[in-house]
Amino acid sequence: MIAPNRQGEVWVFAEQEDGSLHDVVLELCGKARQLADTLGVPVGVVLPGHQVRGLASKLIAQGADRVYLVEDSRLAHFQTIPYARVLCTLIEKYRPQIVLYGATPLGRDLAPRVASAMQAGMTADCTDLQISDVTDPKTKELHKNLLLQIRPAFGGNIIATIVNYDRWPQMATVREGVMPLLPPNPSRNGEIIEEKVEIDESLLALRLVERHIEPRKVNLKAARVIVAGGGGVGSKEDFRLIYELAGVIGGAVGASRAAVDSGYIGKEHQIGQTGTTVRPALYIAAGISGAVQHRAGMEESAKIIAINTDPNAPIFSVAHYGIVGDLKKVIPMMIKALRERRK
Amino acid sequence: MITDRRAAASDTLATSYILAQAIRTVGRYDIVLCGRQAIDGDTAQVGPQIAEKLGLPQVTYLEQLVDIHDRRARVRRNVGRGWEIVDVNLPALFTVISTANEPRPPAARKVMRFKRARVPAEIEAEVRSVLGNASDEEILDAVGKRTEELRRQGLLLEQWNLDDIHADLNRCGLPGSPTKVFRVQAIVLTKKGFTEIPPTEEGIRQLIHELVVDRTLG
Repeated sequence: MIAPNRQGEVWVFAEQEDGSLHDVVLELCGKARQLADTLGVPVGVVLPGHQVRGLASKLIAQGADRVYLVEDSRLAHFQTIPYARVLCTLIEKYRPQIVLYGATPLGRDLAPRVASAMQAGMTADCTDLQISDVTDPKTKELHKNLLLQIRPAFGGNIIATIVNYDRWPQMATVREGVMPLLPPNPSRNGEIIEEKVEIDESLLALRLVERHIEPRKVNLKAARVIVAGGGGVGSKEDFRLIYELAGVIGGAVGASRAAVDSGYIGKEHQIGQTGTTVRPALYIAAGISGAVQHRAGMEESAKIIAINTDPNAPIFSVAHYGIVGDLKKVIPMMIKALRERRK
Repeated sequence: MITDRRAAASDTLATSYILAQAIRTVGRYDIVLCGRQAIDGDTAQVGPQIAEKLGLPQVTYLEQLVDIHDRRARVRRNVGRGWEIVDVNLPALFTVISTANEPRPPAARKVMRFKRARVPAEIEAEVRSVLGNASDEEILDAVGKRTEELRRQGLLLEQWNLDDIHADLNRCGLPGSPTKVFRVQAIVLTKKGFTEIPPTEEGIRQLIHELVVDRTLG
């Protein structure tokens, strides 16, 4: 546990794998820059790994003033305990006021472990971070320049604002894509600070046996996002738009019976009573009128976007978002909007 | 079961402290199993924080126990777009995801038998509601008898408070929680039916942004 340090830096943990930084790290650098400017303090990035020095310039271009580089061959593959040791050691040494992590599987494994060791607070999955003065409603004490950690809770039905009054650093995880990626500035100056952290063999509790990152493939049942096209797509050529949107969004391609029967796409993509029943986090129905047989196979989806030229199409009865328009115009706009966020 | 008013308002740090103390009180363990996350806060923090306090290695997002022998486990964990298999020495803590196991159907006879199982706090509440305005002495007596009866039948569940697990009260409940909820806002649900998005670049951009913020995308 460290006491509040009002001059402390704003830090980001730099998650990297096989020598490349996770996108969320670059997004967080931009947010950290904004918070640090409000506070009038520098941005620091902690970069542990093996042969990762080359990544420092990218972090500086993205907003870092200092990159704390911890090079060790034993940090080549992520392991919770040695990585937590690195962060705790540096946090105790430099006493940053804020530490941000990506809410990735790795970040959510590491961050709580660091928080526990520091006996500090940790807020998961923040959707916004702000600096503000806060008066403790109990003691009426004014705390200047706290980090407001804003996040949904209870299945997204409420928005909670979390603060840490006195047990610092203030730490949070943020999902990829929530903070905008700011354009890099290659002419920014920054400093690389090399740090050595003692990593005892006894800290290496895990041994990696095998690792497999799956190539993206069509699996309707398992897909988080499905982009489905119907008879309204009009031709096999135009069905490429459906594929393109699915590719950009990282989803699977589905189809209504009308599209399959018209020969736009294979039957293995059919969704509905006679096809596959799906309940993804997001279902985009483009040019699908929404016959009851189709709706039966997708209406349990958490979010449904319907795109159709006919405002009376039954698909709108199960949709959360409706776009009355031509999919040949709307889908390219979606692709463009998604690509812009990636940049 | 651990129940204590002084544990109220615990954040993940305090919750993991209380659970770690309870595990220490049990004393002997090879594997500590946790779910991935609770459905209220969705933080997925308590598992790793228990592991840290007990000084155990942690394996999160476990989806398969491949092998276990000689105090060593080989497990497969989900890492988002793929998986990895790791060896870990026991004792260790695992957080498990829902695809790891298809729960077997509950045995009807056991369900019937353990429907009557109680923790001491429930026994007292039940006795009080039955005896109503009886004296404290009578109630105490009835609670004692009922407790003994359940114990004989193997239906008395263990109940601990913070003293039983030798907890430092400064690390539990509100005093032990560094994160404070400063403000809570309900999300106002809009009209029934769908939200109409205009088929314009600005409309679409706003829609994509909304999907990212509410975590549907990304």
